[in-house]
Amino acid sequence: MLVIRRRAGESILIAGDIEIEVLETTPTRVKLGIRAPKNVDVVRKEVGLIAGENLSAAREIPLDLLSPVLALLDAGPAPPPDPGAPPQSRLPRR
Amino acid sequence: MPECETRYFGTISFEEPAVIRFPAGLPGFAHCRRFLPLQDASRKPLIFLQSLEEPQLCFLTLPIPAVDPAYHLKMNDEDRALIGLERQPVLGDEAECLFIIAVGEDHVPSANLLAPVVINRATALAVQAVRDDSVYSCRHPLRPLAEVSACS
Repeated sequence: MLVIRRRAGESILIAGDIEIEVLETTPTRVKLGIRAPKNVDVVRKEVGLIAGENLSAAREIPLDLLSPVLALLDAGPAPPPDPGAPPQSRLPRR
Repeated sequence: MPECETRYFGTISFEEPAVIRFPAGLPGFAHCRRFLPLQDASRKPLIFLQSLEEPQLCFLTLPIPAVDPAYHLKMNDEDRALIGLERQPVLGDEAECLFIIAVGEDHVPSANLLAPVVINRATALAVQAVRDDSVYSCRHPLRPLAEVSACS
């Protein structure tokens, strides 16, 4: 890993057109400003990780697999037993 | 009333005010902005987040209290600004908060506690608020309580 020391107000340049400027430093955090071409995707690393998790969550989930878990979670007041009822949209309430 | 195709319920009709909007989409699904939260009486407390742009995209979610009543929500300034919240929201009152469910290869369902979906009730705007810290897991296993207490 390349290590560079920089102070607030100083920048580094990547591939000629991506600029990362150190805007502010505190003992626990660093505030960065990033200037990059529109086609360069800039996200926090955690967000990149979550994109992968979302893709996996978007796969078909057999609902019966969840039944034992749902049965034991706090479901609130029991709904009237009407298995033929259409799904209800809920939230938000304004 | 408008109609939409859904992944789990066929074609249904819905009311426009029920739609929630993600101004920035979700990570991995930046183009999906409009979702319809659905609840099926026989699958409570599950909430289905059905995409209105992609009929095949439907996230299964659970409200925070059902998974972890002690969960401490922490959103960064950018995420709050995106959905019009001036301060950390009060759950259930100002904001509804959902965890996205996934099922791993081991067939154990898990909830993403690292990146809850937060919906501003007043504006119907939503964001998947990825936490800056690592206090919570993105694969928190959901096990029936009976299985856990059986060890005692």
